[in-house]
Amino acid sequence: MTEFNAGKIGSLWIPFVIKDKSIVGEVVNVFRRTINIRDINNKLLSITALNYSSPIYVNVNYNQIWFVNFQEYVRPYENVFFDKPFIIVGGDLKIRIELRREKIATPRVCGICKLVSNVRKRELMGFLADLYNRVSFFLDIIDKPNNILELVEKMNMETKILDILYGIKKYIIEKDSVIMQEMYSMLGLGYGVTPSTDDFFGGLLGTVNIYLSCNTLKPLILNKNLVFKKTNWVSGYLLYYNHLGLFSNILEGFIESIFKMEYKDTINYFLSLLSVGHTSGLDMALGVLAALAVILESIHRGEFIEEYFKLFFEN
Amino acid sequence: MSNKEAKKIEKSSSIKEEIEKANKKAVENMMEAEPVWVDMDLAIKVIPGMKDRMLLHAGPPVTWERASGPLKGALIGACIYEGWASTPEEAERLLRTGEVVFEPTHPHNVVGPMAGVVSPSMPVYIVYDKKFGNYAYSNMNEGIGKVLRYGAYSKEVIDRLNWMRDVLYPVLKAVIEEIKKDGKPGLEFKPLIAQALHMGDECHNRYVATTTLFLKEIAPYLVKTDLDKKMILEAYDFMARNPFTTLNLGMASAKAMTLAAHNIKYSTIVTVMTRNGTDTAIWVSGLGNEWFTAPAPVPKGVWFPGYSEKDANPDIGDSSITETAGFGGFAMAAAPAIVSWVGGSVEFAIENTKKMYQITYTKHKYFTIPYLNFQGTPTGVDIRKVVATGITPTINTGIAHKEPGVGQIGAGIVVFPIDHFKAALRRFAEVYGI
Repeated sequence: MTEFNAGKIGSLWIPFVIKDKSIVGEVVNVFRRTINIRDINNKLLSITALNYSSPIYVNVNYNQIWFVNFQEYVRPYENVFFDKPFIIVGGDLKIRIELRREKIATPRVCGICKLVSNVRKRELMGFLADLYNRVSFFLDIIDKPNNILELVEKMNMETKILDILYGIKKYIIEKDSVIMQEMYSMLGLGYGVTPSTDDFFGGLLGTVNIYLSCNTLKPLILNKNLVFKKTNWVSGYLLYYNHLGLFSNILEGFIESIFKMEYKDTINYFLSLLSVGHTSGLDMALGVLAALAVILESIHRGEFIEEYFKLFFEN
Repeated sequence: MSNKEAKKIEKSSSIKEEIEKANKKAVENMMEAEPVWVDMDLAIKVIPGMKDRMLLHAGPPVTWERASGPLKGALIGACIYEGWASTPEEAERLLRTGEVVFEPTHPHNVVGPMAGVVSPSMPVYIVYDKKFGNYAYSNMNEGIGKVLRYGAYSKEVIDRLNWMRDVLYPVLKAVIEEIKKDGKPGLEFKPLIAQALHMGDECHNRYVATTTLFLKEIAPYLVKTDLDKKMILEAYDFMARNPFTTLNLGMASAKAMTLAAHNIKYSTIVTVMTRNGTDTAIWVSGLGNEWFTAPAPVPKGVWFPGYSEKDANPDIGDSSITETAGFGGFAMAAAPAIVSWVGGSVEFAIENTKKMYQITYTKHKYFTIPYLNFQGTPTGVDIRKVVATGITPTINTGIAHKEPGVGQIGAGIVVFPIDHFKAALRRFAEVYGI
């Protein structure tokens, strides 16, 4: 049996690994560096060799030079259980868990909230305008084909996207209902395990919901059943987690550095997001930037949404 | 859309076109360069900017305080070799106080494996790129184990360096003179690398075939020289016993190739990847000689008996110039036997080469890999592709002991960190974009 050590342990794994023995669930699908698991509560958990953490991941430590390929050890439908100190997947893989506070990946929503309430909003406007230009420059010189921008253009979805952004703005200002129906109709579109629209709306809603929670407003909650009608189970769950603000540490870092208005860190996180998934990281980042345009416009009544839209979607 | 926005978009798309043009030119130049070993001489006489009481070292600039054990050891050894100091303590004082200065090799068009220390009276190979007119230089290879480039400076190390200056250098100098008398410009090195890649070398950590080919090429000229037979035999025996004899010539050739790709405005192609045992660093063609650095990782690999990872120094050496030029670790699929030296498996070697295609501009025109249906090797690392994929260059490397004076303790593989590629891209945006 191949053994790895866990580097980080996502907080959603804790109920399973604090016991001596527990049944975690079963494998849904296996990729070279990620195993997706349906837990006994019908929720998504993952084991991954990726180098970023999240509340849903157990990150395995491995010698980064020799490639890890989980497909060599694990098959779909295999059982996953915990037998202290190991998470055991099927008959060929076990991961040693050492529960220490510094190893647990928890969401940093509260920290971000503090930043949101302290941010100098006028300065943030200037920062964002500059950031949009920088991001737009990188997108222009770096090839990331089949991303959300290309998809929207190909499928003539510009108006729908714009309507959703203005709908969210209206919700923030007037607490009025949002055109959620439009959003559901766009889920599941794009390439890869997590289609671009799912990633984009995950970044968008997650950031908006963090802002709403920080201002003690009711967050925009997706209807799970409608989500799973439109997209695959893994992507739907990731979208669901993302829209609650349960992000990877890179996306959290991206949002935090924006509210701290630190260019170098913000760009570094953005560049890191470019290599997440096929285009997932980029699509989520564009969702975050869209959310910030909506939030700023709802506060200042400027034309941030239009600016954002022109710069990215009409380019 | 406002005029300002329209202008910005126009500017961006023209920048992308400029980048494409520049990268095409850079990589084309890299592949078309024709490095030729043309001469040998003492470093002080030929290396641009080389001075008395100056040492050159691999990697980016570093202070004495931050310098790694093997680099310190090699600098100390060089001071003793030059006769500037008679003890390691005396040498250390000279280096610490700045009475002897040390600078990186690359700005002088020099490359050296591991610590890469070159001192004024060390003989160096002179490689000339007859296509683009650049010169590159490297010192001579001492073999493996207790050697200066791994930070050793005991009497046997200094004695060997003296012997190399007094015996090996005049023999090689005579050989190159004979080659030129034959009407040749020197010894063309690109065809040698291309052929060695078909004979199981990757030309960074495996130079068995290259060295054999080299010895075959120079054999008739050795016979033609007027030198004492004993001297020739000693030199030949030393080179034949050292499978790394041609490493330094391969590196100087790679430096000549990458020089042809350097300083091309708008180009995002990497033209230097190097390490000093403390930091790794890159240069990017369109950003000139600006260093982008990140902490050097410790290689993973195969250890000499009695040593392990805990004894290892972080990665060191200019030898990653080979990967920069499109061979070395990037050509691992050509060298399955390399895994017995650096670790891993044959599958890994093949997979690694395939992975490097994702971060490079093109496949080499002249360096091909039989196992991959004679595809060209991955050539021209593009910082944009590194950042977009998160894949960083994999380098084959030797491993030095972390303490000065010990030497080589293994060989292995190291993955470059991504931080300096991101930093370079940020800088690129500042220079060309925003």
